[in-house]
Amino acid sequence: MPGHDRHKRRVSRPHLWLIALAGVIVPRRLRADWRQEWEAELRYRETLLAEWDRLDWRSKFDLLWRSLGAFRDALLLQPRRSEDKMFQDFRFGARMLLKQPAFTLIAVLTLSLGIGATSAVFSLIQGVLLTPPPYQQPERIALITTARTDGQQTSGPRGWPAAQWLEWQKEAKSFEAIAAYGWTFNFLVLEDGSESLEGMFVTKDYFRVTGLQPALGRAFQDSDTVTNAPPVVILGYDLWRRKFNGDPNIIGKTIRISRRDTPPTVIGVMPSGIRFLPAPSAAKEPNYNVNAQVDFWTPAAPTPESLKQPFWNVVGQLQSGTTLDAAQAELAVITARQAQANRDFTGFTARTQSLTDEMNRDGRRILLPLLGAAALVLLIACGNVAALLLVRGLQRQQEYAVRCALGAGRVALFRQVSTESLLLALLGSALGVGLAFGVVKLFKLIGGHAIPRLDAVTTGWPVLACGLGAAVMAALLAGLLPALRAARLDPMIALKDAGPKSSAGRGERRMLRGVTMIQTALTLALLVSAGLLIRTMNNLSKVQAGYNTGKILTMSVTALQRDNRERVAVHQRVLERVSKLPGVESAAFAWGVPLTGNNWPFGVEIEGQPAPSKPSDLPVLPARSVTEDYFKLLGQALVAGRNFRSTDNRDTPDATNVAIINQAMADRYFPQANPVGKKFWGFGRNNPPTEIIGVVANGRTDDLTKAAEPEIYLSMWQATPFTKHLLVRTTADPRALMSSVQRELRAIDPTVAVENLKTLEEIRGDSLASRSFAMRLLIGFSIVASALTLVGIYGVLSLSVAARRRELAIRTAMGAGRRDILKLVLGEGLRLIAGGVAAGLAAAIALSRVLRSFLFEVEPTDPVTLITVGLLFVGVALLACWAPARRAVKVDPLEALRYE
Amino acid sequence: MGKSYLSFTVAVILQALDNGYQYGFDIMDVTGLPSGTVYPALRRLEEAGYVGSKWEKHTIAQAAQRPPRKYYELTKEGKEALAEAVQRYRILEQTQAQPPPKPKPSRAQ
Repeated sequence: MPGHDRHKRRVSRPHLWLIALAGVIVPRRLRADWRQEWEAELRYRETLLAEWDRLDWRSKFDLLWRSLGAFRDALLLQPRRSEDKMFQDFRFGARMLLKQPAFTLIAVLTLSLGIGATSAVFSLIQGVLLTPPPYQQPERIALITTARTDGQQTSGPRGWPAAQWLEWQKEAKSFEAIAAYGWTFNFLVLEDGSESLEGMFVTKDYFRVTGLQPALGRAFQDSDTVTNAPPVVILGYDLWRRKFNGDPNIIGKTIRISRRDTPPTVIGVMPSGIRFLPAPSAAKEPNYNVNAQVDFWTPAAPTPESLKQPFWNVVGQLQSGTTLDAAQAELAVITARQAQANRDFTGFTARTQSLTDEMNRDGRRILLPLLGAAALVLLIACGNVAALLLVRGLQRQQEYAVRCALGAGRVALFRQVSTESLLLALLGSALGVGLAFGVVKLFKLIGGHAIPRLDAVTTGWPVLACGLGAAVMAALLAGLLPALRAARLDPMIALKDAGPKSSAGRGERRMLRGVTMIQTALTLALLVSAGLLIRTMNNLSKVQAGYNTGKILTMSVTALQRDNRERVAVHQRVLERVSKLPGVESAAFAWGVPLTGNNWPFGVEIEGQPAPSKPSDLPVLPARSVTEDYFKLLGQALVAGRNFRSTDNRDTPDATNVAIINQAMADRYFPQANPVGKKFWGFGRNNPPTEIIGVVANGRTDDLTKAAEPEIYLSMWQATPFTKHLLVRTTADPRALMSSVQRELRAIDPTVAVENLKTLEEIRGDSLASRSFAMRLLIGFSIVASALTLVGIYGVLSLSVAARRRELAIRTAMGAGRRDILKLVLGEGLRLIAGGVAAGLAAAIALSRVLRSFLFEVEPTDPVTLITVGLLFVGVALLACWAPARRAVKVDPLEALRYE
Repeated sequence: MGKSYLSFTVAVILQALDNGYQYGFDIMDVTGLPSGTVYPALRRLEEAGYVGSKWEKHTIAQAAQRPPRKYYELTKEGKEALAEAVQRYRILEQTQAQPPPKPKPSRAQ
């Protein structure tokens, strides 16, 4: 640009003012030329007009009008501002990082660990919690559950009588539509071994409430639910693909399923990914899994004779703009009125719950604490990289000072240092995302039972987006402090020091110590959490369950419906043949194997107990149905009365219904008397009574963490479940017998469905899955965090030793011994560690409360865990201090003083 | 700025340059386009290599007691692009045979 600065700019006219104003937003690099071009044109034109004597108001307005265009010109130059500088900064940053490959590698690896952990847990959260269910406007779908009007806990899950929800459909203004549904199961009969199916029976409004539409065929109509209507079924997408090979002509064909005299006709196929709506009253069924994909839908409508039976689950679509509370209040008024009109409905009121909240409850419980743990790892990694960048900044002080002296502004220096952090973070994110992809695969392998709907988790854009987000955050966290320090550098002071600095001043060391202390505190919080979960698992392994879980093979067995005599014969034949297999000690059938959550909520009236005044007061106890050898097989002792016999059979003439109760039930309901010989009635005294024939020792059958509750065992030949478990006690590894037991079953009934083959130990493991998954993850995170923090402690102390080289030399020269120097350096290390550990224990006490629901027989503030973890960490961290301390001892006073 | 996507406005500016109107304000005069269109277009054309720019000689500017003006010239690529654009926008042919420029300030547009 040819010496434009020699021309004194005379900004005397409005159009020139405008140019000066617009010039402010032109990128600095281009600004001078830009202003000159506009000014020269305007002034040239102004002069020309003046010479021609045509500088009237219209010409002036024209000049002003043209100057306004300069704003657009300036605005359109904006991309060049960031582009140029950004590229320059990135190029320079990349060159600087390549110059120190070891530093770059360590920083990138460190960040990748933090970013990888966070992205992996986030992808779980995205797949499980943030992906809405495939319903139209899921936020408007509300579950309508029952609660007691007196606010007490219901003794068991209860549905709604059709008589009540049919009225709601007509009267409740808060709902657009209300549908009722239930969980059901069946099995697809195949000649080479059948397959059990889990499905829903739904009223026709189900499709209106959920907004679902079949992918093939049609939804249910009124005509499908009338009496004697031909049975129809809608298939789930997965079942259609798996068992019918995705046959596009399936509509109109029939399928053979059990418990149906007429094979139903397929009228539709639903889209993929549709899962169950919660059906609490079916939650104790052996195959119930609310998070599974629905295999089939059948139409349902209440019959006049069952209007008062409370077995329907109800779901509604809220009117737009109506809140859950408003809907609940409206239903409360209606149910109160219904209870007044009919005694059967007293004691219960409606509670509205958001469907998504209910479905995400379990997932949130485990995933949010884990995200917190992953974020701590990321923070710790950022701390390490911040420390590395700070030290690197010290080494580059001279360079920064020279650049400042040559005219680089503080902002430019800040931007440059930040760009380097961002580059590091981006590289870390690329590696971290790769790591996250692998970790998610690992989660899917080990977290199957711990996290609901894990099959829906995919690794894709969400992981990438989270990785990128974490990278930007990491760049900010790790890079801000070093960048600020670089920008605040006084070039004069830095240039006075000869040569690059390899050590740090007091202020810098204090800052690094602060960073390391925070890291130590965060690591301690993670370690304590992991420690508490380890103690929990340890406590659980010592729990006396009351039965023996070793060497027992279990499998669910579903056979075709037959009359009772034939059914008993088939099942007894199975037990006989399986018991004779080599390696088998005994075999039994059971409906309600421990820790599967499987039992039958049984509303009972017990002899000698006051009759309930209203339905909600009826005690609901878990009932199980077992064969004679069950208690012997599990090692549960009979403490009173007798065991079941094969004659406790529905077909035996004059046989009464019999039951064995557990000790807890005997203690609660017959504290002073012998329960044997006493009676109870299932679902009201109108039904025949059941006689208690024995008392069995307590077992933690429902949940290992909870003491035994009252429970009832019925004879399987009298209480006949459709699907049941076959239990086989073996003399050696139970898994080795899987195929031979299945072979025996198929030999007796080729169509039998044999599924879910597991050992009882595995079932026990599954019941603790969320705890063990959380424990494994926290252990993994704690190891990574500890490694990073130990490296941090090592680094800070090494830097301190380097900085105090002269002081150490003088001390040695003055007669300080090896022991004194060691004490000095290790003392500094110990102070650093102890400060971090103290802060960490406080943080751990605050944070570990989040884990309360996972803990068993250990408090979040458990002193043993806190002290053990704290001491262990101090011990290991002192080892990290050992190398710098040794280096301090080896300082040669002569050499050090000469060097200085 | 891809060769085949020259807009009509940009083609008109190229044509004006080819006709000898080299300064931003002169191009505005002859094309009737506003300054907020002409200058950004010139910068894009320069970036694309269709147009080069130079500063007026310092001595001339000094004599007139103002900063040097910047003028623009068509490059070889610019000429090719213009030829191609003329093929597409036949109306430009009418402006090709215009007499050489005599810079004359216009009144208000």
